[in-house]
Amino acid sequence: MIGLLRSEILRARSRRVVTMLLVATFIAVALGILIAILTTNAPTQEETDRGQRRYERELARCLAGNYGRPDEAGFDSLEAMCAEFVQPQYYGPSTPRFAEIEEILVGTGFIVLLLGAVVGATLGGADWSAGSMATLLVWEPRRVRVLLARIVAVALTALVLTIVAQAVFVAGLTVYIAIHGTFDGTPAGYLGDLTATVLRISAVAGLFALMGLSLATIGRSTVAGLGVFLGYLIIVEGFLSNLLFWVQKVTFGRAAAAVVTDETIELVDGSTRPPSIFELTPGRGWVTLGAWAVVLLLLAGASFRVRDVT
Amino acid sequence: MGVIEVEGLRKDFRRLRGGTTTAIAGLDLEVPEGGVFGFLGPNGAGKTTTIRCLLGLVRPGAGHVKLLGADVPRGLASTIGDVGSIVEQPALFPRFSGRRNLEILARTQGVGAPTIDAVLERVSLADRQRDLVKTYSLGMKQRLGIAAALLKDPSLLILDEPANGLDPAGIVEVRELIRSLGAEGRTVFVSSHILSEVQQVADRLAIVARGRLVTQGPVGEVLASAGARGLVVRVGDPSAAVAVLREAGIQVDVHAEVLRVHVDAAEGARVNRALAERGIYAAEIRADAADLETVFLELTRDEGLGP
Repeated sequence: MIGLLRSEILRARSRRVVTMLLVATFIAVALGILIAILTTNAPTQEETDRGQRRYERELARCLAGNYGRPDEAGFDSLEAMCAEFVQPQYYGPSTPRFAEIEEILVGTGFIVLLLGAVVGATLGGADWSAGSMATLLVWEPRRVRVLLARIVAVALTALVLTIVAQAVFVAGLTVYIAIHGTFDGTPAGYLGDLTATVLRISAVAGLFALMGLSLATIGRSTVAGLGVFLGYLIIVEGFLSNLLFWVQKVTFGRAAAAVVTDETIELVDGSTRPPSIFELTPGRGWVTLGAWAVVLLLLAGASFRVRDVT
Repeated sequence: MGVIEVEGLRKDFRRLRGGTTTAIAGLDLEVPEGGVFGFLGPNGAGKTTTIRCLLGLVRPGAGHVKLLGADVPRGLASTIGDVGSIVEQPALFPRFSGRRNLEILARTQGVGAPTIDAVLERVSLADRQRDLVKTYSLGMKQRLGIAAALLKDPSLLILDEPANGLDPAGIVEVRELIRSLGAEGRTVFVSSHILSEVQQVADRLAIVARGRLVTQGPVGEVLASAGARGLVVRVGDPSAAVAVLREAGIQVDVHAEVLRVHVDAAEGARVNRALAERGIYAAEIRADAADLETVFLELTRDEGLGP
């Protein structure tokens, strides 16, 4: 089993698509940051002063009670409420802040998840496209073992690839912020939060990779795997879930959103009076994603075990 | 006990538009240990499907298959380490180097780098091992496939149409390789539809057509089963020679200036004397031995399986 796993990891490592995705990430981040650095101008003193004056004015309005009562907004005091609602960066010139990187990562997380699905589908479909599955099976005829080794290799590859991609992205953003932004206002323990977000997104990307692997194994090609995956996103997540509310509760796109943002998503069923609300918590999101991955892998395993390799 | 035992093997494939296609229709086969065994049949005879059944890639509809004494597919895992194979074209990753392709396979069974070096040397690919497989000629890919099959140092090699698509030089190379592997004491099971190839390398053979066994045995016996065919005689003046032999009561035909004399092959001296006494000297007298192609066509025709 260890030998098989080593073989699968070597195979995954040797795939051109893996190298290409890494290189593309480096180039995209480097180019994006370079363009941002060259086209962004630092704010003038006048803009900074104007922003500071607006901030002070709004803070004064808030403290005068113009923003409502703190208890209604869930705050203990007026000062605490105003500190949350009125912050300098809302009024001053737009200055990129290191503390915003986590938000940016969450916002671009769907690209990382799709990257995971692509990696899974391509590693799962490569052998079928090249016709080398028969070659592999005459070395290791126990198909369940082959699939298990592949699952581990694909999950590891997707994890490592997406962590590296995100690390490169964060590094690029940090360089940009060092030149044009500020590290002020970065809360204590922020790096820990940032790392947790990166790992969370990569873990979901790993699950997406396993779904891509399953679909490519069932369809016996990368194109089939990716086609079904994207078709599902468009038809089920984009269209069907708007017609049938219960579908929203079980789709993996919304579950992934809850996990990646680490926030509860409220799904509102407008067809009932009064509208009913389903709280999709991050925990529920993990369960939904895990269930999708397990069911698809079981289907892939059954198909792989029973069908002839011709 | 044979290294390959097949009994009552049957495989039907479902067609997309309904119905089934029978690839193997109750095949029995026994391959003894050692030497080269030719598995002969026209395209569509069920050779590749049989090999896929042997290797557990395809599940038989009926029948039993044993490989090195182990039931397939249940016991295959215990014997597969001693079986090297190529099924149809060797399927390799074209964008990996030849060596990387072998390394991926080698790692599954913990085969080390020295063995990879040795098999690459053996198939004369050592100097091209770092090149991408997509730059290889068909013959080189075929040799790399054989190298992959040899990585396990197997006692049984199953090669499906190893000379397919090769140029004459490639065919000779692969033929020599197969001969040498058989001479080492391994059992080499070679399927082919190229009759002359099998005749040149195999010690024993089986002929299949339409998923059924037509005959099997040592090559000499199978050829002999076609019976005596007389003599082939070349002379300067064929028409004069025909007249002389017919006068002597010997049946003879002429095809393309070559005489086919219908006597026992042992009567070459009598034919030669009859011609020489009339001043006709033969340039060549040899037995008109049946080749495998003739035998194959006769046997499949007899079985109602021929073209």
